[in-house]
Amino acid sequence: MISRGVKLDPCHEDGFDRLLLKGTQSVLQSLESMFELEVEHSSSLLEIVPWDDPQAPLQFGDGPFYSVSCGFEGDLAGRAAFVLSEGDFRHLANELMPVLSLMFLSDPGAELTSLEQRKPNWMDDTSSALEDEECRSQIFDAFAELGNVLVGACTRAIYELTTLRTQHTLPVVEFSSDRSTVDGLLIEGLASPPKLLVIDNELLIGGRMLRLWSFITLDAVSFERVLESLDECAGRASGATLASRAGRTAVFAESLAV
Amino acid sequence: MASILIVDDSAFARSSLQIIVEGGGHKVIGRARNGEEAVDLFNELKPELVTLDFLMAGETGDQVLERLLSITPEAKVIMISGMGDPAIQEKALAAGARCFLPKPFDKGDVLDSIDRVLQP
Repeated sequence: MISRGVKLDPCHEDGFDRLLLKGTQSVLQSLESMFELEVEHSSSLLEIVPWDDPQAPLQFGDGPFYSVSCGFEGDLAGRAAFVLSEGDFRHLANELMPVLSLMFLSDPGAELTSLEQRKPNWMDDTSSALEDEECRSQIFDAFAELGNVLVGACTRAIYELTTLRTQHTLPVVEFSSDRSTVDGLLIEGLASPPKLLVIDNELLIGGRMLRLWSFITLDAVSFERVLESLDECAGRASGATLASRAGRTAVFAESLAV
Repeated sequence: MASILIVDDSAFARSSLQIIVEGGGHKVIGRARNGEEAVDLFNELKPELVTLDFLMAGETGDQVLERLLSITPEAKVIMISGMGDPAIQEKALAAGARCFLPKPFDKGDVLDSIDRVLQP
């Protein structure tokens, strides 16, 4: 974990390292369970920087990008965005084709022609725009759902580490010709210059090393709230365990006193 | 084999769940993208069970759940969400959902939950 311009105690660093681990696990598990994708190799790095840091990470390039973003609210206010370069997005979409083809066929209103047979030219031709609206819609829908799952995993990880509760808004997929649009998505609606958490995931999928950028912005008050909660985390061990156990499996009404 | 109505604004999620559900021997008799479609199909098709996504554009899952239960108080509804906040789960169960399932779907978990909810 790298922190620039943000003072963190060892307890905070430990908390954010665990967030990185949980976040990376979620990415891998989601890609596998949702899309049957095998990630052959992965590495990840977390950076925490002030939004107005002149040395804010620029490594994700200048664009174009595909992103899925949403806001979150509750105990924490912020934004989240998952970003891929155009080339990586095309490759990922291509890798999703087998599953998306099956999805297309299961649509009661679909034609018998498989999605794979209708694969638009843009998958192979980087100079072409998406023209097949049906295919574009389904690919974006799948990407939005991936974003929904990933941000949910992130807010759950934050809850398990801090007991701070957050709900997210509907994810929206966008194509951006440059990074200014992504920047705008990350500070939309925030009252104060946020702190930026950047998780850089390198994922080897289908022979290509993709870079999935996970950006989380937290407004100043929310970031301090996270730090305060991490300071108290040692005394919350039993609560965190309960939260973890309730997190990822079905829960039935009769098992709770409701 | 149960007749199931799937409600989710994501086509991918609807299809993913349909594949799991039908692979388990049940029949998806309807798919709704939002609250209005859910209520219309619920009234028309009278499914034995409904799977209902919490986070949707327009009406949220708990709002749709309230409408379904006002039509059929004993309706069997499984709430589904990718949300990480456990309060969503608590809210859904308190509102009358029989079960809460997280996303991404776990095939075994989905089918076991359906079987358990359908038990008399």
